[in-house]
Amino acid sequence: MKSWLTYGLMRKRLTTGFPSMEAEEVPLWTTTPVSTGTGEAHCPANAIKGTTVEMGRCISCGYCSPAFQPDGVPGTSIVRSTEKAFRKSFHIYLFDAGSCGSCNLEVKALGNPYYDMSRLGISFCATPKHADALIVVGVLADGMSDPLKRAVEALPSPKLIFALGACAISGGIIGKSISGIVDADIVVPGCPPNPFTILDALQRSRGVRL
Amino acid sequence: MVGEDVITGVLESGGGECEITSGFGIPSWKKAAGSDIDGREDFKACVGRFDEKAEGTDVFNFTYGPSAGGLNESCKFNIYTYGERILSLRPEPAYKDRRLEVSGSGLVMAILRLERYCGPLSPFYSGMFAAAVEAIMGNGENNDLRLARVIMNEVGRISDHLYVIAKLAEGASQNVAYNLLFGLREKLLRLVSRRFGHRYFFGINGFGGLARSADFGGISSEVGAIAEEFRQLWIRLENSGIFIDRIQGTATLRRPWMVGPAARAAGLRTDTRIDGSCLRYDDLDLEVASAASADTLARSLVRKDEIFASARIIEKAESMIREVPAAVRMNLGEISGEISVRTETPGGDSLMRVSLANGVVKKIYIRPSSLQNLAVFTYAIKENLLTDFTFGYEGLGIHVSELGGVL
Repeated sequence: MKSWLTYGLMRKRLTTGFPSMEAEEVPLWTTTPVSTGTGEAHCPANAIKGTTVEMGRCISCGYCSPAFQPDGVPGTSIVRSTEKAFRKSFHIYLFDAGSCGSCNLEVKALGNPYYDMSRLGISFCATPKHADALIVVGVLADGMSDPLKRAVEALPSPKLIFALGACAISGGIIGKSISGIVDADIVVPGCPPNPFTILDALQRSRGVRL
Repeated sequence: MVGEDVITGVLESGGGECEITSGFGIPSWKKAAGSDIDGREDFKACVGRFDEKAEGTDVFNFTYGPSAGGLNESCKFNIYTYGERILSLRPEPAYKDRRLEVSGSGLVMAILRLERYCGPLSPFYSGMFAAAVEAIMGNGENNDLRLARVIMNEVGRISDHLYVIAKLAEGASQNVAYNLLFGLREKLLRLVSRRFGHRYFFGINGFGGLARSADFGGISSEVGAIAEEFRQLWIRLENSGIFIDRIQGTATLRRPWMVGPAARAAGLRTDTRIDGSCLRYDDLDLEVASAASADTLARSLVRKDEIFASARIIEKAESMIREVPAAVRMNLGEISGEISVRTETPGGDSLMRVSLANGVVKKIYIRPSSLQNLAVFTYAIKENLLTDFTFGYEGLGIHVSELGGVL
């Protein structure tokens, strides 16, 4: 039997060329729904205002179809501030404030061979004390308010705070957002945001031109 | 089969706490017996109240979580140790309890919220709720819709099992295996996204049909290829002494109240798919996996077998499926009624009691499999080493979001 190393090397290359190349398979309903001008849209999250969609509220349910159709473009994040000091090495800490678990898995997916964020100098760390950025997912559960405050305080400067997913940004259809505790520098919409969108946000947050 | 006297859930009914003692048949309940049930393990497993502590000379108590790099979801663990040995463990999963509000919601909002009760298990909970509403409406079972839900659930099961085995490989520092398994799961999620429009099946389950069109044609061959790739990986994993040594004999437990792979790994033939009230599997050649040693290795063997079994079920279901109806989105009517449904999530039997009044959710109760599995972990990890924590915990596939309450 071949060794693990040989077996691994014999696999074909899985890793995406994104962000230097086009994203190959973007999950459609996590991208921005665009009005098709046909019919009336029903949005259970009240994200639709006229012909536009407030992405921070969109829960990617697709109930607005066929009046709206997703544009398939992964770059939906809003980057309010950037930190160029993290361009070569970027350590992120995932903080679950009260998620359903899917945002967590999409962030963790960045480590799998399809996205391999380590090729871009991005890695997970085990404590906010060693992190450059805090990625907050989920609605703000009462019990997680204090741990979130402490995690933000533990982050060394310079630092970036991400609100990732509709729940963290607006509370979605579940609860309250994290905005009462911390102001996010970057918001990453989606329910959950797909790994391409997250990767795009991470790169833009450190001033990498895409 | 679990005995009739085992408490499988606790719900509030008639102004008091009632214990569900149905085993794996149609649930029924009676008023809780009072303080004498507080000490029962099966009761604790259903309410998630753990008072496990250890005291004594050189007993060291430290906490892990609620937010820690090694935990995918927030949960606090009070660990009592003597040297490297875990004497006792007291989990506190309430930190991230979102108190998901479903009561008072319309049916469409309720199903969307229940999808987000536990994202990775969304097809199970939304399917369970939809089945409950359809049963209350008196809709006869649509065979194509049943097969569609079976396929979605079995794909969800494979995804969850791949995640659990990947986490065990990560814990054992089998990094090539971990990455390839995680890659395999990504391949599956991309398949789901392509065919169902969302990687976690959000927005797909509806009442009386699917809320969005889905592509079932040829799905079994794609899933079969993933299962075959997994088989090649597993052959290597089971020949890895490092991997097997870490999970063999770790977190061993046998109890009659256990559910899912943990129960089947202890030789109990329990699977809600055999006689559950949500989805029929009787014409789908369901094979119930089992093992005997009741440890993390046995649970992994059960999950491994279930990946192949799920691939076969999908193949059979795809061959039978014809045209899946579209869901009714509006005008669901002034439906009233109450019903219990249960389904076999990847972690085991989950129960949902749905009460509707005039087309609105009056009350909902969920007893998730993770509650039972957290209890399994609490009892099974005793006398294991601190370094076994990861294997005991991850091997049970616990979703902390499932442990939160539903209002």
